[in-house]
Amino acid sequence: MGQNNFSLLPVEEELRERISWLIRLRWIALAGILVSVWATRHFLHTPLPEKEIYLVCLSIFFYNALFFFYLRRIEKGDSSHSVFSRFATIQILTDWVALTFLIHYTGGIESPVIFYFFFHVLISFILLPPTIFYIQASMAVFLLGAAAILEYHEIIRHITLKGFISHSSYQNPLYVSGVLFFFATALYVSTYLSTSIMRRLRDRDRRLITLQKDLRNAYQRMQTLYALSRNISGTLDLKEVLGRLAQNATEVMNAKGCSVRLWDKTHSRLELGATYGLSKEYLQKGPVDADRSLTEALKGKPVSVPDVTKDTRVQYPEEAKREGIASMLGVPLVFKEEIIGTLRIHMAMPHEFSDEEKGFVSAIASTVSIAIANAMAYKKLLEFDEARSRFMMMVAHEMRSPVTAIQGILRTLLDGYLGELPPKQRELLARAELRTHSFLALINDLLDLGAGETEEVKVKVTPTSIEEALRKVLGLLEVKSKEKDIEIEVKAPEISPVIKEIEGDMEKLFTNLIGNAVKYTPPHGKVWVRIGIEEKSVKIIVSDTGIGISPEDLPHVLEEFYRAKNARTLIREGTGLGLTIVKRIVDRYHGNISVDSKPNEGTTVTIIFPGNKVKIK
Amino acid sequence: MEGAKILVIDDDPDIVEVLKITLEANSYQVSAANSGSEGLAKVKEIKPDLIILDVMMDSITEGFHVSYQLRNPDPRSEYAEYAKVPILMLTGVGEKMRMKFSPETDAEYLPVNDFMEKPIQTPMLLEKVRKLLKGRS
Repeated sequence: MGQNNFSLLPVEEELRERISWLIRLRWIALAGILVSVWATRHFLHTPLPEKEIYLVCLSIFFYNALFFFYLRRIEKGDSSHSVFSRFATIQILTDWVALTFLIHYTGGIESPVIFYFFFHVLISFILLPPTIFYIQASMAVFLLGAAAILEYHEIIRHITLKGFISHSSYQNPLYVSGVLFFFATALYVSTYLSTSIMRRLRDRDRRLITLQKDLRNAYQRMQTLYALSRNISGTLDLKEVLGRLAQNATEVMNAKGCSVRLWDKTHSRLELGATYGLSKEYLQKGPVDADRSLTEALKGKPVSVPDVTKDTRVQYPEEAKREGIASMLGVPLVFKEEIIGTLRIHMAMPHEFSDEEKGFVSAIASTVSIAIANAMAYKKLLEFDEARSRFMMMVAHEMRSPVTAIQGILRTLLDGYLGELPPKQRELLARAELRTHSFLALINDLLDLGAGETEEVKVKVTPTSIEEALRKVLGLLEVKSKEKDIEIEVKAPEISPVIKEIEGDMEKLFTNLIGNAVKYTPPHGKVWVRIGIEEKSVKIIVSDTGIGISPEDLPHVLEEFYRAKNARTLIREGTGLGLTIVKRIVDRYHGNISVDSKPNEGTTVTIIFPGNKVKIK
Repeated sequence: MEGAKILVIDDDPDIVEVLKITLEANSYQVSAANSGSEGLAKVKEIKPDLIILDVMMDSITEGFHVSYQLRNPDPRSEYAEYAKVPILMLTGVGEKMRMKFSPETDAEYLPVNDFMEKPIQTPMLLEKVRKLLKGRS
């Protein structure tokens, strides 16, 4: 989490603007003095030491010009706040010196201009930190007092505004001290009042800023959490999920490293799932005992270890120290109220984890726990699938072996290796041999169906020309179709569409489709195979002049082991799995299959593969 | 090559019997072994001209191990002198479990000369046997 710099309060940020405002104001004040001097002489006929006052005005003009250019210079550079603060103080002090001169030339302690000190008191409240207020007030009292005392002792000349006051009192000690006293108290009291108001204002400002900062941090954390969760949920591979968690948590927490351990229920121990930023030596330190290492985390609570060397909750303090780990935070990974592991953050510096940090890491843990649970479930699923595949393979072997042996023996007898057989015996043995063929076909079909859908994740996918697969199958079926004098007519586009298939799928598809057509078509019939391209999708149509399917049977032909009544009467062998296999294959490529038939007229099977699964040139 | 010595290694006595009858009827001398280890011993004993070897015996891959032993490229191997005896491998569940073998694609890691899938088709068996023996002589 990037820490934003919020050290400037809004009042302080305003300072820069206010300084330029002050300089502009000073120009107006200067004009005001000049107008006042002129008006005093022409309308009030009060004599003023104009030359001296104009001199003061001239100095004000010069120093303000100086301030103006200086401000432009420091504004260009990246000057710090204290530069501006000092600049403001200097301006106010310079103003007060100028003001003191003005007061002196307009009657000293009797001058009405002394009230103008209050303008600057207000300005400094706006511009400067409270600590400087009282110094400023004292400075004003000092300047005015000095002028009054010097005039009192006639060290400097007193100017009496004739016509403005009838009786000069600058040498009346009671008057002088009285004015000074009330001036000072008024200044201090207003300083006090303003300061307390200012303090509260600035406190409120500060609170607002802290809140803003918290809010922004919370927002950042939410965003981080969201990004992290998205990243981690992007995979179902358990190792990958844990690896990403370890890395992301390390980065987000600015940590040295991170480890994820999963709770092995059967062995009651924590198994290392993934780490990030930790050395091999450290990871080989030994088994992490659930009851000796950050135990609380396994009870569902975050455990913060500010200093690993001084904490009994750390099982390997020496190793951790050598690894450069100074502090740790362990939080539970919880899924459905069950602890599935722990997430540990390792920091390079001693660090007391705040409630906020604990909360944040716990939030990471609970968000990611779902992804971990999913990945674990997926892993189990893959294991089941693998076990099933192995099982299928064993079953296949165990089932096929005896049948192939039986077939071999029968064939040896039928081939006459052991002498000629009487015709009746021979016929029965031939039938038995035929049945072994259908039995083997059934096993093969079962294997096709059982080989599994998830397996395709692992199986290599290769682009295959649909027509090429068709030709291969036609070659294999040639003997059978010729035997029955069935003509197979093929219509295919000049350039065959290509499908990215799991090897053998198209062959299997055509073997079953055309095999069925030939099987259930009476001798001298006809079978049509068409491959067509329609709006970027590929259409395969296989139709025949076969026995057809009755309307009652038609809705069920895609079901496993379903065989239509007429099919069973006509041909004994047959597994009822052929079309089921075809449907599985079609589904695998998100295709569509429909069967249309009329008894004794024929059957048409239409398959459509969507454009995103096939490539058409 | 009439009278050639063929060693059949298969744990299924019925398959052995069928192979024996068929091959002997075609004037080959057939010996049999019903395990990989017995097969290896018999190789030394009878010095066959051809070995017919089943893949799945006690374990799924026992036949593979037998072929590795026989075809060990190390000249000090105890079977070094039989390294050139052709092997015809019988597979039980080849194609259906996506384990289709062929000399073209699998010769590199499967040091056998040819494959044949059960159930055994007699004409094909005789042709393969003839071919392998011809290549040897």
